[in-house]
Amino acid sequence: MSTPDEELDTELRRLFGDERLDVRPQAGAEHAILDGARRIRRRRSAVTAGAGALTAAMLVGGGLVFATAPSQNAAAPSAEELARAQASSASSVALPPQVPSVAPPSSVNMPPVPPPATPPSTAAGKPPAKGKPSAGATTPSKPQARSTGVLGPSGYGALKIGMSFDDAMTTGLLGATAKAPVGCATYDLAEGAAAVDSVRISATAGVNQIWATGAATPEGIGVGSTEEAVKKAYPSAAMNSSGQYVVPSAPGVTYELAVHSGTVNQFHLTSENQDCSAG
Amino acid sequence: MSGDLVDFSEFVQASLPGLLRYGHALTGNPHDAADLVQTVLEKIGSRWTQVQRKTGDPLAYVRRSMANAHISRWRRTKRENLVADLPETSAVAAVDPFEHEPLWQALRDLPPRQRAVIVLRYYEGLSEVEIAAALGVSQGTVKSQASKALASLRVKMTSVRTDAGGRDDG
Repeated sequence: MSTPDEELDTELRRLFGDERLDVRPQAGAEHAILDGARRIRRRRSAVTAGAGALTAAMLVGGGLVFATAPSQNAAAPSAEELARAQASSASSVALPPQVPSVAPPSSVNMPPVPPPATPPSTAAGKPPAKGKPSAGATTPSKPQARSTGVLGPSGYGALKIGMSFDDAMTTGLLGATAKAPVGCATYDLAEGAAAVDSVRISATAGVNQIWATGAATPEGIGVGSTEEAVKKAYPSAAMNSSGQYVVPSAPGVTYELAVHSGTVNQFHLTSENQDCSAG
Repeated sequence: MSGDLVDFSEFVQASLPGLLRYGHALTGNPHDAADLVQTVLEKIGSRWTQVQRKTGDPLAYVRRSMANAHISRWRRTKRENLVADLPETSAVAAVDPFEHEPLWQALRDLPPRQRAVIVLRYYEGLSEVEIAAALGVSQGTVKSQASKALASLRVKMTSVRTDAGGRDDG
């Protein structure tokens, strides 16, 4: 005789081992994904080609064809079961692939592109910039050996969170051929990706995310730092619901540090003023 | 096709079925699973060289990205709540292979992070420490999320059992 807890454990393992969980990719699914990856890459590197629709294109999902595992809806569900499913079912029960989804996953589609009427002025209440790329040496503890440059509390060098695309262009940090975002777009830096992987700019909110590669915070925290070092440098760091350490760095701006196996593996500076999709 | 995309293509080919299945467990339905897998893989593919350089285990990295993307997506859209408000007719057209599974239905009611913890524990068989690392949360958070999740599953299952007049096991 098993305890209720053991029973639940067993049930969960059984459920997750169930073959009905299988979702069969159809031929061509890989190609759709490869195309998508290529598209993102092309648009990122050649932000030139008037690729304003960039993020929109990259985030419109749903093209992935698949079929569910063996259909077994043999028995029609009883009214009671339907009622219960309806009551407890938060997300829609799976629709057959042909049926258009009732509620398109808005998260994957871009937010409606706002009329370009209001050019984003630099965010109100922007703090004076503190972290200059050259100011990396003020680390209390040993700086990260591999850090390259500093991702300051409000931006990377002259590139500040909240800055409009036009202002960002005048810093010269973006490629000279970069085109203004429609909705949101991600840009590489002209200097290469040693310090910063990319910068996301929204047409309305301006620069709202900067992804670090080698760059560290002025406190020396970056990709490769240990979780201990993060906690030591930022004792008040809190975990957000995406599971990242969040450190307020400036008004409306936070460092976000994702930790994997005890080491920071993603580090970015993010504006709370977000109108771009997750990720 | 550039070299790293050839490599990525092979990776996708090999891992797609498993990832879709994982996505199904994570999101609760095959459509969201496909959506999640595609979105995450496209992003990762676009930076495949970097991803490989940064992580020794791309598959684990993809799964972790999926779990995190699912959690943050839900947070931003609250989509599931919206869908629950749809007229009842939608349930009739819908086919859920698990509609006879009270446990599956109970899982739907869990907040996404609790569900992710359950999936990582029972689907992937990860330890608390590993789950904490995968989701970038503390071990304490994993513990508390897991116990909250199990508690509400237990309650739901008990009430189902009572409704059904009890079951003969246990």
